[in-house]
Amino acid sequence: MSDEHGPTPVSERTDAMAADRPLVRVRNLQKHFDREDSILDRLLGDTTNPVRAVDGVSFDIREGETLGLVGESGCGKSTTGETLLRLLDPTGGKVEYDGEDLAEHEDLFSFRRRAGVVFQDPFSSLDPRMTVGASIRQPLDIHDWPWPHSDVDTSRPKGELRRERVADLMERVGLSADQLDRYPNEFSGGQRQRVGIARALALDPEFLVLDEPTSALDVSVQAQVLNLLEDLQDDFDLTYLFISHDLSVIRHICDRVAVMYLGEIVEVAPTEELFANPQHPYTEALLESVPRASTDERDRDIEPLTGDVPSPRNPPSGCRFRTRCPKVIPPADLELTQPQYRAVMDVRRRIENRDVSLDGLDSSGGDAVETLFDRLLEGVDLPASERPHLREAFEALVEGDFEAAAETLRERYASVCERRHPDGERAACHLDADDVRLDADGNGVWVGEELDAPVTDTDS
Amino acid sequence: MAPKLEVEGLTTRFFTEEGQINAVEDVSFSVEEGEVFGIVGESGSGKSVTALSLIDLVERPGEIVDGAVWFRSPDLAARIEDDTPEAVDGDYVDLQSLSEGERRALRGTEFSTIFQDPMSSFNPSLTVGEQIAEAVEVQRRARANPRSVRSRTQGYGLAKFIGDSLLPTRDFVDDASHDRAVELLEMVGIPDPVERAAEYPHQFSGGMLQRAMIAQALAGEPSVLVADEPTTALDVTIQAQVLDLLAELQEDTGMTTVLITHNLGVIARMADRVGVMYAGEVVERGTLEDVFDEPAHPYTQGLLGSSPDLDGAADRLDPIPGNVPSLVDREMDDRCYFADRCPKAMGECLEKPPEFAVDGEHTAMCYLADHDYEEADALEEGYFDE
Repeated sequence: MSDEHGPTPVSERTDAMAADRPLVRVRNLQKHFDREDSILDRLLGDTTNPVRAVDGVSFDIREGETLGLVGESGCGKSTTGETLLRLLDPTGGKVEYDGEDLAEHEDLFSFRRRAGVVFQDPFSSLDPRMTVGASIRQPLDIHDWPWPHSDVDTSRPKGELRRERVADLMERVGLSADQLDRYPNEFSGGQRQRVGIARALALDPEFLVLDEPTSALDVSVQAQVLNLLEDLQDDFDLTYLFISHDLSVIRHICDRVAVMYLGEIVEVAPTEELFANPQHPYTEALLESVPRASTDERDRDIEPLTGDVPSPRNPPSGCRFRTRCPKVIPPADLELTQPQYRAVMDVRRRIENRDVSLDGLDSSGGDAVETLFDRLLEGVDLPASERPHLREAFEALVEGDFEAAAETLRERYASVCERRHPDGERAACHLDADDVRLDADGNGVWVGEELDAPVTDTDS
Repeated sequence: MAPKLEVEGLTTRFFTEEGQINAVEDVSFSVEEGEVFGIVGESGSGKSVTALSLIDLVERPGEIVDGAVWFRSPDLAARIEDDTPEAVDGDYVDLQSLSEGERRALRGTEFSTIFQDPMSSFNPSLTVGEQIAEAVEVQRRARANPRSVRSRTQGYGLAKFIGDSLLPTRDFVDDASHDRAVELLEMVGIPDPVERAAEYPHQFSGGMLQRAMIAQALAGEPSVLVADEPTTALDVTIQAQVLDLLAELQEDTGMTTVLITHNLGVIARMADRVGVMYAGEVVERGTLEDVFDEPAHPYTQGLLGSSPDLDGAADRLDPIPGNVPSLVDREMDDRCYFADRCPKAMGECLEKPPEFAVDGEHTAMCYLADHDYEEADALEEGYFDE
């Protein structure tokens, strides 16, 4: 990767690099956070599952491109960025940087010169007791810049060269070099973020992870910083991993986009394609949910996703999005519309979670079953063919036998989405599978072979 | 139609050790009955303080130093006309001149608020149901006797502590209020409201808690809802749910809403009319179409131009240069506060522009709304640099 005196200059790197080899290759990267269970917890059997923050993500970042990583809070996008840079140790999978596996490096010192990071919060990522000049200079001191290869007159004193470089970096990110002796509290949010960027650029890296770099900023200032990042990319041949929850920003700045949901990547595509023609139902819902700043916005019909994101300690089996997905794939022989099927599946999930109140049910008669129909499926008009199955389940429920009720419904209504983990070239969704027949609305029906019992992720 | 709220020259200042901060400066706008009035601005523009000033919740060292908030309420006007004639003008009462007791009685029953962060707006040690029921109870009592409104947490002193210790079962909240709380939770779309009412705030997700806060705000069937960044802490898919809910409730109850946000998309989705705030002033106001399609103030133009577009990306964003000014009084000249960032600043901008009418109700605090840009009069570049 580099000799002990520093990285090879950019020009040589590019020539040596195979044109189609990605700069960063992430394969099946995993980061689980385990709570330290005390002995008491273990004795009491009060152990918890680890939080599966990043659970097997794979993607490539090509040289010179900006890959966007987008998702909602808690989806694991920031953890992916930090694990990729080895700021956190992965619990599985590997990251190859420029063809070399980072896990095989004994120390990451030389890698740190080549890959930098800009954090979200410019208020907490700078040391308040250091002048911004000292903050920007710190990496230069630690890495003993300038190196023999560096593009400067190395016969001059290092201190002087570093001071010049700091001033140069400040100017480069749009600050004035006379502000170098000021403290972070004298700067506005946008200016502090510029300081953070200057610091990340100090060692002339080729790759930057930008973790929500503009999320703490107002739109007018955000636009300044986005423009700056674009200019820097052109000037320094930088490759970016741009992490953000803001789809408009992602669309503006990225070449390709990966969408994350609950620790997994659900879709990767070139930006224009992803926005024009989202393949995964989650991507579609995400795009639809963003309110547009235009006067047509009021008349735009949106179908918001229902429910909340499940816990990453105990993610759903199969496709993780299936609990909120508006296009869950039913088995072949059902005569249910998508909303009806969803209603039944919601009932089933509640029964499986023991989340149905049996208070006030008369356990002797058929009335109790009717009461359950009213309570659980209020306003859902089910076809007669499905009522017996639900009736059977509700009868078990009236007896208090949640397990039998759940089993009855599982047998009849199990979806491919819960039994198999989706895979796909572009979108991890079963709608793309050969065994799924699509109707005119884009809803699918499973026509493949009978499915086995669910493969739960938590078993592995 | 007569407006429900008329804000006139509202001015709020904070008297801090660093000096006087002019958070809200001579702000005027009116809100029609049953509409959503959006206030949009960046951080530090004074939009939240404006919201707090409307309902007089500004806390020390802040103080409302001038202005009036005229609220149309014929009943209230008739009732207090004899006691405080200065607070009444026809059907309108001035919230600023009301007695503290009268004003408190209006909170919750006529005016309600939703804040940004649902996690910190609930008491973590009481169940969600209890807290909503308490709001219902307070409103019920307020309606019965407007002059004696107390919540359990208000004025908790030694006497109350002894009272509660001697009679621990003394229940503040009546069963009917509990039932109403469950109804409200159901109304805002929380599944299994009976069970959820018995849970504590930490057991709710952010979106659920925001719904619960909306339920609490609606407990007194308010006629005016002030929503301060109601969806900013939420993810987009949850934001879409909550905005839908707010729009639905607005339609059902016909309440008047003042919506404060920095998000132009949320404004576009919800608001009928809009006020744009910058440095404590409303620099432009008008209907949504006026402001979004024909912005007259260069700040509004800059704000719209600097937001990346989801439906078709521009090659390059057009940011507003510079930063939002500090609002410390001694650092503020009496000029157009945007002039130092404005691409079209002229000599006359060094004097504060009045509010010019652009077209009908569409107004802007900018000389360009009155006459065209004169290049000869432009301020030289770097005029405002130190």
